[in-house]
Amino acid sequence: MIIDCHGHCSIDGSCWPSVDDVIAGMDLYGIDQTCCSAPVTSGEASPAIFQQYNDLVLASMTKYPSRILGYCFVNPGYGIAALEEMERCILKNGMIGLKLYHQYKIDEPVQFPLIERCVEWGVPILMHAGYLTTQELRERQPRLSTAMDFAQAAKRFPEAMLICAHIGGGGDWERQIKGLRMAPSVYLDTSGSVIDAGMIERCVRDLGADRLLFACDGSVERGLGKILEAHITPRQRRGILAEHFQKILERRQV
Amino acid sequence: MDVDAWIGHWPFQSLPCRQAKDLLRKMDHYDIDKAMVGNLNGCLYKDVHESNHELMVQIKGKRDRLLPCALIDPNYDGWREDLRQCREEFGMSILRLLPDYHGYDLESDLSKELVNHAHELGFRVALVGRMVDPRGRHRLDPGRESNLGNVASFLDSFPDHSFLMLNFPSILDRNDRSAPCLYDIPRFVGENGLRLGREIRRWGASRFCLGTTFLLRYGMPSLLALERCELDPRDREAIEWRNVERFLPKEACS
Repeated sequence: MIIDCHGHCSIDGSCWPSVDDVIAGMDLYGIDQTCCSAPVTSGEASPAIFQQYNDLVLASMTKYPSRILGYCFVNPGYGIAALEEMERCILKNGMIGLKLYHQYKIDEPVQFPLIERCVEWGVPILMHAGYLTTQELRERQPRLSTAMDFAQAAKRFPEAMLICAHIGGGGDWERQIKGLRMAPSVYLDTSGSVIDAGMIERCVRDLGADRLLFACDGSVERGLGKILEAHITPRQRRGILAEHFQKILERRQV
Repeated sequence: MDVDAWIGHWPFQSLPCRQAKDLLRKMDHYDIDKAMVGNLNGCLYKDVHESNHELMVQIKGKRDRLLPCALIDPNYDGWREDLRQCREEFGMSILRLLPDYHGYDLESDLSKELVNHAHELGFRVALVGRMVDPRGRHRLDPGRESNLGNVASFLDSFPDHSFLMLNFPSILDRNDRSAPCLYDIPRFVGENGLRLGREIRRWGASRFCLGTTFLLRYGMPSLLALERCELDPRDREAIEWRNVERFLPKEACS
């Protein structure tokens, strides 16, 4: 069993890859399920837009009910509208958790009502993250959450299932590991195009395999290849590839 | 044949394996017969040619499987003699250019002088798209993502020579060039695992070759991508070794 806990899709390929392509890639590489979202990554992420994007994921879930699991994406800055969208997607339409992007950092107060709701429902929060090493890049994503931001949020909400996205998503992944050492309740997804030798082994050594979740974020060869190549035990590999995320899904309360 | 392997120390990040014997172990594990290998130490040495000497010591007795790649800094006194020694005494047949690390512009006269001299000596020349992802670059690392426009202009300066293009994200020269360049595959991946197959269908298998980036990065993603992209056996063989065999001087493959 292999579950990719960080993917993206849309039913028609309009804003994210078409779900048919996502399924074709999953079939090629033997991935059983992919947890997809359709975040708004630039421009204004208004309720009208994030509702529309979530509909494209919901339609994908309907088309491939046993293969595509959905995350609800919202812009926390819209308060009540964001919470209502979470209720629509997660409670009424079976999405498995919340996806957040870089509209706000994970530890900003605007996130607290959303995190509280996810704790109440027992669902995970997957958030875009990274530590960019140049000022120029940081200015492009001024509210990109770092591992230290996750540590702050986890301190306030130790029961929340926060997932720090893509250790290889571009940025100083070694620094991210340092920050996550101080936040034992935070999970880390293994996706990203950066595949530096030893990355997965370092995550296992410093954070423990139990906190790692297999993910591709669209780069299936890199996502799967680094897990298969890494010098870890078969049990650790099985856990990363599926079991750890299955346990997260089992904690759902609603 | 793997065209994109490295040994040595990367000054900005700890690598789990650094020696030729480690590379051979990887090659054995993944059924790779031969690899073109460069010495990372040569990125920052004042006298870059010392890294060529080191490389020859490392691969002594392993020449049947490891093809050493020369690194030369054309700003350094005596580089012509160093290059001659690499070719005539060390039997090297590939020169890898690292302009960012050795302080020259790819489009400069110095660069062209180096390449012309290398061609005269019978070298095949490899360009490197990038050594690291710039989003996580160390503040002292001079490496940058290659400016693809500049690289394309550089290639236009040598219309009758084919170049080995390592770790580039896209094809930069047309198929009707008199000597089309050969691209390794590490960055022709993504799009949910479907990109490599699409690129091969678009450009033809004759434009690609296998590169893993061992021991700097995980190499399995490239191997996995090639294995899963549903190629005609002849195309697979071309990418795995025939294209490179055609690219190299005859004596390099004997």
